[in-house]
Amino acid sequence: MPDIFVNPPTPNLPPKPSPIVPDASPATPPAFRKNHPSCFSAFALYPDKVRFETKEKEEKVVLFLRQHPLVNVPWILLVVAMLLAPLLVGRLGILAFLPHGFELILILAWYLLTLIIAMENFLDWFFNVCIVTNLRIVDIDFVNLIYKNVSDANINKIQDVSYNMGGVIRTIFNFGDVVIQTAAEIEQFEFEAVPNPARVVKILEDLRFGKGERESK
Amino acid sequence: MVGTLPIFGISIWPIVKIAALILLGLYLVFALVVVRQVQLMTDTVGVGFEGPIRAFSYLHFIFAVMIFIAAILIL
Repeated sequence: MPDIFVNPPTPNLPPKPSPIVPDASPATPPAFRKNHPSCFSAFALYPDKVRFETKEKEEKVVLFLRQHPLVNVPWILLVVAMLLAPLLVGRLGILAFLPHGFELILILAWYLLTLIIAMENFLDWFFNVCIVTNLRIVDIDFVNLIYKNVSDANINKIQDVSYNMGGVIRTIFNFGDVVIQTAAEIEQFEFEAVPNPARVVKILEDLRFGKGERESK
Repeated sequence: MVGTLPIFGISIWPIVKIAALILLGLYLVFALVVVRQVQLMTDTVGVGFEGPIRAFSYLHFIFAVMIFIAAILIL
């Protein structure tokens, strides 16, 4: 019986090249890269100089975060105003009723106060950091000069990662809060005012799912 | 006379001097706490800028000591 339908012979075509997909997983490179970001950087991927108290030997820092430098603008303006204030007061002669020695000590004490305000705010910004390693997330907070809070959670305990970025300044300069829900003892981590929050979320998601795949194998 | 309490007839400046010295003395203690806290902070996190920050905390303490001494001598 003759065939009703016969497939035409397929030509021997070369295999189609697979589409080039951009590297969508910056958090899981084949080998850990080392970068040399500035020590004042607020967003550092694979920084080489970062160390922290509870870091383990095999642990690699993937991401180092602190608040966007713009959060420092209010206290910098305050410090500049405080530095200029004695000049203005001297011109207006407000302290003229004080004896000469008192006036001098008062101005020196004022500069001391200005210095400590600048120092406290700088230290607060510089040392309140969030660190993402290949094993866990670490949130280091110095609430004031005498209170320290270090909390961490394993990457595989992360349940949900989200971010919010509201307001004109934050939208223009691309910084916002990253909120991480975990199944660890501390249920919620909040990285406040970090630069590029969408990328932070992406990196955390990559680490999270990469970890999950390795564990399920 | 400026700085003289009219009721008791005594100058207020010695009282102000003692108050200023007490405040500056308390500030010295605070400056020491700052030095200690900076040490703790740099031990907790390190990014390669610990030396200058520690040096700055010591300079701040020295500045506070100098003002305290100046207050004793000048006031």
